[in-house]
Amino acid sequence: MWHDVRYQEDNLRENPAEEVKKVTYRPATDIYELKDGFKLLLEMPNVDRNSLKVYIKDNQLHIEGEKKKPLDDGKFLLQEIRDVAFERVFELGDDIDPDSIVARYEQGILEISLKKKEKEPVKEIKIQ
Amino acid sequence: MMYRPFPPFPGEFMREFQQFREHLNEILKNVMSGDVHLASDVLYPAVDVVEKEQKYIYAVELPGVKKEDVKLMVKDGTLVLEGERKEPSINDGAQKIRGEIAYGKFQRTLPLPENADVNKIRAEYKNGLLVVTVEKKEETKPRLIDVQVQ
Repeated sequence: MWHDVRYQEDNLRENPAEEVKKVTYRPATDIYELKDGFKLLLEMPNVDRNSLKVYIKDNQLHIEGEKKKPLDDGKFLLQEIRDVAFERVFELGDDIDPDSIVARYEQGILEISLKKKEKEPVKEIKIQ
Repeated sequence: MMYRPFPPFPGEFMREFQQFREHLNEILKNVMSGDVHLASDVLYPAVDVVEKEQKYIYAVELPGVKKEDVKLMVKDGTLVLEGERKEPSINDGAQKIRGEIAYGKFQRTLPLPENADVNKIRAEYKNGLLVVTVEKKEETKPRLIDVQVQ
């Protein structure tokens, strides 16, 4: 569960001719397990909301976006912040309900909440 | 992005030192993945500084920090930023199963150029980015000279 998938390598195998977006950054992630779900916190300050995408595909949670340089005009006296495209893919466990996903971007932190599947009642089969 | 790189030298605008330090930090960033703790206990948020015609702008990457945990001040002609990035309190019987985000005290000391007007400083925090704008002293701003044509 929560196995970190190295998406870029996977993509190259499937579509070698397709241009793979150059991902240079994997945002630091904290994952919490709660009583009835999970919470992920991803560190991504100053991200362009239009570029931010969170989705689940084939039981994998994808987070992608672009973090732009905050200042682009003028004479740089110090330059440490990078212009990056980032991506992270996580393998979701079987006990997670993908439809329960909720994502919130606040103060530079992306918070993703997922609920655990409710235990299905055991179906008893009547024997003829 | 917060990490624990080599700290900048005070008054460091000399290109050689800056480049050397940036190079080291680049190596460090590439090597770093997940929980790596250096000897230093203090975090150094990434900073960009730009000089414009009328002002200086300092941008600091400071995601997930509460206003009451940040202190910004001018001390001896330098801009001092310090504070603490605290772990969020997540209830509901929460158990951390992956921890890559670096929490703890942070600090940056950034020089203010001679012509920065310390009485005209503005700071804004949005989307995890702290932007500090410092106006240049009036008399040092570029002034248009009217050319009289005889």
